[in-house]
Amino acid sequence: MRVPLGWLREYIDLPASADDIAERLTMSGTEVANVIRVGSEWDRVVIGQVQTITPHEHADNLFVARVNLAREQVTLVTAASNVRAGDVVSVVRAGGRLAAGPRVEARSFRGVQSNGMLCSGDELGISPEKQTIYVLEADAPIGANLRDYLGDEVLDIELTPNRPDCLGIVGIAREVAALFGAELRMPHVDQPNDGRPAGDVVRVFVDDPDLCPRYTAGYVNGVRIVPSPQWLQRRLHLAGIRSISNVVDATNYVMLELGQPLHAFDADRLQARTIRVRRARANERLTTIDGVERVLPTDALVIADAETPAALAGIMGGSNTEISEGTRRILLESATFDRMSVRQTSRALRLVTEASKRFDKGLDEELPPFASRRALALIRELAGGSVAEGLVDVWRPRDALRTIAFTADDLAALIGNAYAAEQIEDVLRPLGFALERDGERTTAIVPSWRDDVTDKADIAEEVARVTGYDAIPTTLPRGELPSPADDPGLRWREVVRSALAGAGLQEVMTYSLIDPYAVSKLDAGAPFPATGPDEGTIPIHNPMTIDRSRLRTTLLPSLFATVAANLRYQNRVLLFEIAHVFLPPLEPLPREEQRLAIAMAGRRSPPTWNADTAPIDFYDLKAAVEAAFRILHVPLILADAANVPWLHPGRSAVLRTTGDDRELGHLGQVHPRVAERFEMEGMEIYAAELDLDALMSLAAEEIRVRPLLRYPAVERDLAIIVDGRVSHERVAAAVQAAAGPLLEQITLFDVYQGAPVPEGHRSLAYSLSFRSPERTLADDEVATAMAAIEHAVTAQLAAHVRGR
Amino acid sequence: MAAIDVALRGLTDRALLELTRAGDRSAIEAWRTGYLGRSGALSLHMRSIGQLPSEERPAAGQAANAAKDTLEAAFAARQRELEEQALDQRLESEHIDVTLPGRPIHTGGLHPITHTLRRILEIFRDMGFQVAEGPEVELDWYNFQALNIPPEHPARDMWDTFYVKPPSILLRTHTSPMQARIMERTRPPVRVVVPGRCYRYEGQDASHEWMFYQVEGLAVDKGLTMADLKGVLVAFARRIFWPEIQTRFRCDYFPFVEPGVEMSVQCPLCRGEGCRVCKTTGWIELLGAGMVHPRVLRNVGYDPDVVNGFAFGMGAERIAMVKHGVDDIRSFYGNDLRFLQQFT
Ligand SMILES: [Zn+2]
Repeated sequence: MRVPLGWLREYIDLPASADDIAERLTMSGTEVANVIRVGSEWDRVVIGQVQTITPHEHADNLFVARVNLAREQVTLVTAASNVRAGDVVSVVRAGGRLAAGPRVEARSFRGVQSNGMLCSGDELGISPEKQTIYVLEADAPIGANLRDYLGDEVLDIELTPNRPDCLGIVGIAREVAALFGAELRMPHVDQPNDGRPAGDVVRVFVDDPDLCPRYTAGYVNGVRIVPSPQWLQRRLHLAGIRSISNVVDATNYVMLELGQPLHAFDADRLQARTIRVRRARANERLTTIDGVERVLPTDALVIADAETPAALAGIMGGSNTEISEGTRRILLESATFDRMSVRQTSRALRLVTEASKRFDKGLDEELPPFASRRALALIRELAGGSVAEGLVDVWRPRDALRTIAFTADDLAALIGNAYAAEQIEDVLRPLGFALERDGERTTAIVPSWRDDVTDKADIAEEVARVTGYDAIPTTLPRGELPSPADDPGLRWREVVRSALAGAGLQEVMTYSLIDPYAVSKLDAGAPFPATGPDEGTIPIHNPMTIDRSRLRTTLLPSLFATVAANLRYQNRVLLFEIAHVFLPPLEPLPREEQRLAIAMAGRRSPPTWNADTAPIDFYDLKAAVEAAFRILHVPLILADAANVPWLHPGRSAVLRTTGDDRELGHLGQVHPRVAERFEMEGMEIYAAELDLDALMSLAAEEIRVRPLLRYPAVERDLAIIVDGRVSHERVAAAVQAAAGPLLEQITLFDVYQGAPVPEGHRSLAYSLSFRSPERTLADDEVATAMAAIEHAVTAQLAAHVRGR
Repeated sequence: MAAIDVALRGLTDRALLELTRAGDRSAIEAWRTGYLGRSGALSLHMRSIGQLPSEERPAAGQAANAAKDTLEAAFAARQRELEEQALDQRLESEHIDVTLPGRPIHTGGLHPITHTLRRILEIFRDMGFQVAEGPEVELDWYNFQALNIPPEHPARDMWDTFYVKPPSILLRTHTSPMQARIMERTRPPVRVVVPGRCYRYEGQDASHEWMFYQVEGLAVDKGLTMADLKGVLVAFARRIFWPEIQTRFRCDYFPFVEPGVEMSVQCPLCRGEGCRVCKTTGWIELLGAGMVHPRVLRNVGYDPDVVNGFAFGMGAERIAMVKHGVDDIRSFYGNDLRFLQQFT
């Protein structure tokens, strides 16, 4: 909301500068986003009167004006054609300017010296007109500095939704009065009564009082619709409202002043001069004054005449009853509408207006007659006519005003600062609260416009905010601490994060919403593009874009998109993300699971002179996954995975741990078709996704150390030639089982295929470390173990030991 | 002087001279063979002593042995000297370019929001707050109604909302729903912070993002005051920024607190001097807070006449932005590695 200080001054003697007022308002909860200064940059801009204006002899479209500036006269050249001799105008004299930037210079236009410039309303910032020279009131002081006459400061206020009372300038004046201890002057209201009683002329029926607690109607006969005087137009412009005509401007003026929207109907166009406030009927239509024909939602509240809708209650009038030049009689509506109804209709029709913005916050039911009388007086002043006596007022007065009982100690206990009784009164009375003191206890009667104040806490806020939050001391809570309830999952997750970063991966965070085809792109066997959206993801009801319209059930699509985007800049991308996925069904909420996803592509090392330039392969990925398992002390077991649709069938594995059947996730090379769909073609991409919640639930909380052994180890190397399809894990397990507990460690140090190893076979070379906790091993003990190993691998795996 | 002494002297002098000329390992070995070897010059000399008269032999023998010691010592010294020269030469030849880049250690890094969240949570943990998390898809009840925001309340305009299933299931617009969830399952005293992802139906620009991380704080106990809230927030600001940072508290409105508070801090980028980011005010709005609204306490079965609470909520991105001079919030979830890797 925009509050010109020149207007605010009507209700309060300004107690401080614009900046100081803005600061105090902001600190107390009425945020002034900006102070707009009209005229602060004006230099040598003065008021002048046009003496003569004649066409330029040597230029079409130009005019030469002689302008009287009281103590002197200037000649200047202008292109605007609306200026007449006698007009009072604003002149920028040579060397002056309107805004920061270049100055107006004296110059010659085809032989005529021009010593200044005439200004449009838009240039001055006081009206929207760009094409014409702004003509001031005839009684404006000739020769005076324009800033002294028209300069103003405008507070640009961002209101919070709890304070509809501040949607009028009087409300802001009341705040300023309370903050600075100044006096508020309410606008004077004296309804002219020079016509028949309003009730004899118009009839009002409120069919749906649940949506319209109060409806008042005033009536004026014999108005003349003309443009408003300039002071009114300028005020509306500074407050951000376009001037329409005297009657409409009067209603807007009172809305800006008091916060109560009003609507004037052309009474002659209301059938039977009847107002019926009712819900819209099925398929009822109304063309609003913006020219749009609207089908009315069935719950929308309309202001109808005897037959058809004439306005959308609290939102916008209809063009059929709009004030026009020919209007002679008006019906003035000043009413209270249910805020929820206005809000729903406004949203359903996507129609937000100055009126709806006020009604949907909930307005004071006491306000309509006051606002109506204020507007009727103004209309009579601006448009003439005779005003009907009184108002038609359909209202069931509500209950008594709300009261809140409190003590100064109540406030101190909540705020942590003591307030004296006088201090509390000095805050509350100017804000409109009536106070009754009874010893320690005070009862505050809440003014009708402060529906937001319901509790002692609200009273405390009023006192604290007006006296300033800075006055409140800073202390630390002294109470006992809650009993510790550590969530191990939160700790483990951070441990995993750090381990993965330490393992060389960069953490990313990607959006939780994905496109409806993203998951089916992960199925290498499914048609691409997909024939329809994914069935298994939960849709967002009101997505902003189709790309972000589903809750993700996997982190992979977003991670792959991130890989693809980064591969444009670098040839090495190693990423991980930890985030929620959202699994159907809704019962009523989806199951949220924390996942860990990893993606790796490119060279093993960043490109530098001495780097390992080999490309990343499966075993780099496996090592990264192992880092996560190891930090949680969970043993990792991999097995060939069958049919993971996003993975290379020969390079994919399922993740498990010992003694547990659960599949924790998958890893492997991304299927080349899938890689291509995610624009990662031409590179081997390795990725993993796993259920981090499940993994963390297996984490070993306590680590038990083993004693260090004192006796020396005996080392032996062993190369086993075995069919290529027999896994390392099986061979190692057979070796361990055969050797028994003396085999302390088994380390694979070479894998070899090719001559002299037979076709289809490979040689797995292990270094074995034997040790006894009790004694130094004898050679024959080790020899016995080695023999047992050889026997076992030969018998169980059809393998043989190299060199035998 | 006897002829034999003259001969020995001549031999010794010649040998020592030759030794200084022997410039490498094979030359000194040849020298050793030539003088000290079994048929070397000194051995020949010793053998010639036998032909001397017997009374001259002991002195000549002694002189020969002394000469042998001298030559052996000279040999050892020369050998050591040559070894050292050789080492010096080798080391000289092993010179490397120390300005070549080090062999990379493959470190990755954490996302800047992870760094920021960890820092925030650490500070509140130190003040006795526990950490809890909650679901990102929420019930309207917890996200709004339990927080004193009934359906169609004008304050709902403050949170543009993604719905999963209107009107009851939505993407949480803040981490505040955990206030009610936590209070429902615990009795006071409560001191908890809740980090998590939140969503708002909002267009993106340099300072707006539809997905973001928030940290909610909640404390409920007997005797808590707004002064305590201020104290906790000031302590937080001093630790996350710097110890002398100025803070400012103004009244603001959030339906689930009363009184409502907004805390600003001295702009960390210009230290209050005024810059583009703080719009020359020198202040940055950092977080919203307030005393838990009595209706919120009643909604979870607490008695506002017995306990008070305070709550606060802050955006992790905003804190990261002003701490690190990030001027576009979209950088965080754009995930350009050239941006992310600056935080490692
Ligand atoms: Zn700054």
